[in-house]
Amino acid sequence: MLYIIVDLLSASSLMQIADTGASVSSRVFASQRKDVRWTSAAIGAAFLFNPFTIATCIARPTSVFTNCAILTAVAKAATSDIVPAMLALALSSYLSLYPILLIPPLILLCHDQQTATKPKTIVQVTTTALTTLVSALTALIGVSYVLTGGSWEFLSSTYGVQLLLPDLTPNVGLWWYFFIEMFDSFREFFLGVFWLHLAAYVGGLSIRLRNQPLFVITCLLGIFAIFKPYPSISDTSLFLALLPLYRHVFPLMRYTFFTTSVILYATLLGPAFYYLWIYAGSGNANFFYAITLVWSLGLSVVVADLLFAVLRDEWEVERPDMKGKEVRQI
Amino acid sequence: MALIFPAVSTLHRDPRLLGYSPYVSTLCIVIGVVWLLLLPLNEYSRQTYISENALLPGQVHTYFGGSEQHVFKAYKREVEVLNTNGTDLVAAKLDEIFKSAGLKVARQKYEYTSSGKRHSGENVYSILHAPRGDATEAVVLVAAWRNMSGELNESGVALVLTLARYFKSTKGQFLCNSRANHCLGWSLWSKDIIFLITADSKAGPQAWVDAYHDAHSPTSVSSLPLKGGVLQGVVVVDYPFSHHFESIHIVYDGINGQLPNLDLFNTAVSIASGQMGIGTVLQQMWKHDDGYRDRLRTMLRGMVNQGLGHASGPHSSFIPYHVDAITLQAVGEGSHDEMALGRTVESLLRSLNNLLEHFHQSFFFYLLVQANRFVSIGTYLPSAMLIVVNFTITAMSLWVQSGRPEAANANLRGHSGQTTKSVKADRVADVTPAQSAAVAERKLFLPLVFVIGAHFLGVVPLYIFNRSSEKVFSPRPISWPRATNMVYQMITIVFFSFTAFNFILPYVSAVILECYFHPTRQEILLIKSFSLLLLGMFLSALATLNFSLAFLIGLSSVPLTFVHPIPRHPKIAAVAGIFMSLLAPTMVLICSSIYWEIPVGNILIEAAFGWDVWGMWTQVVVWCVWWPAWLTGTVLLASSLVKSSNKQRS
Repeated sequence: MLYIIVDLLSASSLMQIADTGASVSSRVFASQRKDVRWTSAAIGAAFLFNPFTIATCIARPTSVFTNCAILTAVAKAATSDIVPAMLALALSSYLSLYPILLIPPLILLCHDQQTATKPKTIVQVTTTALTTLVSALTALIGVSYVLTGGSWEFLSSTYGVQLLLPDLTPNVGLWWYFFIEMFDSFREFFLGVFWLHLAAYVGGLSIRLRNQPLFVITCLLGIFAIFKPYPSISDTSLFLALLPLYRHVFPLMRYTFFTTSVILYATLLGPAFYYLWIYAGSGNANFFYAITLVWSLGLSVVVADLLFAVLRDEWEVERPDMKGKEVRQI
Repeated sequence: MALIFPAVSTLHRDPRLLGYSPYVSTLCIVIGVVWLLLLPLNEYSRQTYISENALLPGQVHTYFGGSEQHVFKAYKREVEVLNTNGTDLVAAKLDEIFKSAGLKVARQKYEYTSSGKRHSGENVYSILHAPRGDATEAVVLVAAWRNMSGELNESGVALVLTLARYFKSTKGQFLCNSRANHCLGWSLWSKDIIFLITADSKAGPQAWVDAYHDAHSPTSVSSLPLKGGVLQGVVVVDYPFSHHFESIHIVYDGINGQLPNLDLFNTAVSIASGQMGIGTVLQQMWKHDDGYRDRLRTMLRGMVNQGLGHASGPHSSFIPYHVDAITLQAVGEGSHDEMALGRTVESLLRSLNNLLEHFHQSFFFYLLVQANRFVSIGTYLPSAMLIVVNFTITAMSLWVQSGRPEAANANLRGHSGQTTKSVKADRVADVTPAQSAAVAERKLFLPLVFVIGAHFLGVVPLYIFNRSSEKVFSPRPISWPRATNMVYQMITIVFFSFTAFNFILPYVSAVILECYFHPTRQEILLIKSFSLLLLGMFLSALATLNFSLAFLIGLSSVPLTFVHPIPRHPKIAAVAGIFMSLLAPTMVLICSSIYWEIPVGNILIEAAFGWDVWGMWTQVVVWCVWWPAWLTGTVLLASSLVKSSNKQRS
């Protein structure tokens, strides 16, 4: 019941995001295709009836709360309510650490979505945001410190688990197999590399897609769903929830059928191979790892394809004459 | 990646590829079938071998014999008397016999209700704790009171009782005689041996193995008071007559088409034929001349058994728990007596006793063509995969086709030359003709709803066949003999009415589809594309779990690739419609029941039993994968009839 309510809250945040229209037009950017949109109700329904969301809801993980907090943060940022947005982001980062990487695009989103006649400068927005975030996080961690009876041990057993990957239980991600196979002496190095890789997208995407911070967030959530230490289908469902906001670039995507098929195949084969490995004992870990590779490939092609479509859309704003024509990478 | 993607995208723009897709599909199917037919040949099948060196089959001297024969005869007499005196006393008497042999005994009651019928009984089992082990592992020796065909397993039960007594006590004496240094009670078992007598062959073993792993529902199955170590292997003895037998029939199929490790099967074959000189047969191929035809027949029978996923013996229930199990069935009339079977079992248990780890070395996926030859998964899987791939190829080509504007589609071939030329000509930001590059916007809603709806509709027949008779008889489940007729009649009536309904369903839904939703050509293509895509996906996942079922369903769904709505030729569409109706899952079921001469009702009762007790998934696959795909294909065909008749009217 609690989980249904949380999912409904997420859906309402998602509908708020859709209502603002931040995905198609903002103060600094407007797509040529901004009329092609789904209604916010359709987007909310697409999230709620997504099989992955339903499966997540049935499994009752804590990541649902993180997802809800992230969506609330984005919804608040899209209406330029800096303080609530940062409070929600603080909550989600407090719950699972990785959302803290979303700060730059969220601040940009807050800045771009201001409707006041005299908008605040980026510096002002950033200062407010960071102050709120830091104080909220300090407060949350302080409360945890008091609640756990005045010891800091909870830090290593919560954030430490996220950062240092001590738990190598198989999941849909790429980390577990890699770190099982690795010699222990290289462990620290590769932990650094993997986290750096995850964090590296933030800067690059925020700069390149300066005009569309909401898209940066979508893209990052897709990347997190692939590359974070303990990904699950709830991360995928969060990414797929934001995807319908970009209905207007769907016609520009090139591999929709391919990626849908790949993801569906992986969805079916994943449990089958897991069953063969763990229960029937007739398969082995490589079966399952191979299918998680396929799953990640499918998702990364979706992200890459979406990125291509948005860039193409942006390019057509610059050069309206090229609309509907074939381009080629050289 | 950056290099591949543009290449792929130019490829899929190339209209010529689209024209080839039916031929590619056909080629896939033909190769898939031919591949399967080639498997029995020497070049593609392999000689079996023992992978696990610890097994050492047939390397030990077996001591069972001599005076044990008198014990056996006495026990057999007891079993015969018990059978005539009624079933109530069986468990108590068996309990007593085990106790007198000095073993710990326990009993377990179970009662399942399926299709309004009650299946109840009492299992008796005893444990010989390993004298040289720490009770962490166990092997099980099973005899069912009644075998799969309901006959009294007189010699089998007597043999297990004799072996129990022999393993417990006499073993020491024999060894004492042969090795003077060791004293009485010396034994060589390092694993617990569990002797299990189940009341029947279908529900009893399931109840026991569920309870052993604490996976039973306490309402229908009582818990086990006594347990040993982790089960490592199971041998079932089935010897339902008292004369000498000719050969041993080894049954190995498990529930849902899972198979035991090939090493266990090989060990049994090598002990029986190598050490004891008893012939082995499999898949009811009583005469096997090792020619191509017999090998193929053996393999196909194995595939049908695997595809149906039902229990073929008491051992089947163990396999889903990753416990390797086989049934040794004495068949024919020949020169081997019960002592020979007893020694085979002893030798087999000695081999299992040698195991250091759980069976893992050899194959879990194989098709046997003969007792000494098998085909491994790497060799046979491509045949099913090729058949499945044909659906995916068609789905992809339909998707691409649906994305083409109607006009471009009409003169598809005419454009091809021009398109490729311009792609080659310009290197930098080249521009293909706008018409073929533009992808028509696809309307996905109706096709998605239709296909997903069809798949959910599959739950209806699943529910009807598994639960209908339950609902009718639920207030008071009837016990076996009286119920048989009523349940049988009722389920047959339900089945035939569903078949009739199933016959008209596509036409009704086609009329509804055409009259209320007016699907465009594109939507029709998309419906077919999604349906085939899902079918391909489900079957490829299934092929890794149950190859045979995936292959059989794939093969009978092959026409779905080729049925197109053809509104211009209503006569051909009508003929194709009748053909499709013959390929409906219901009609296939009727045909196979006629071929094997088993009444349809019995098959359905068995299937419902499998669902309720064994956890069999075959029906789910039939009704939620095969039937929706068939329904979609036939509706599309029927819609062309509706369209043409609409045209005539207007």
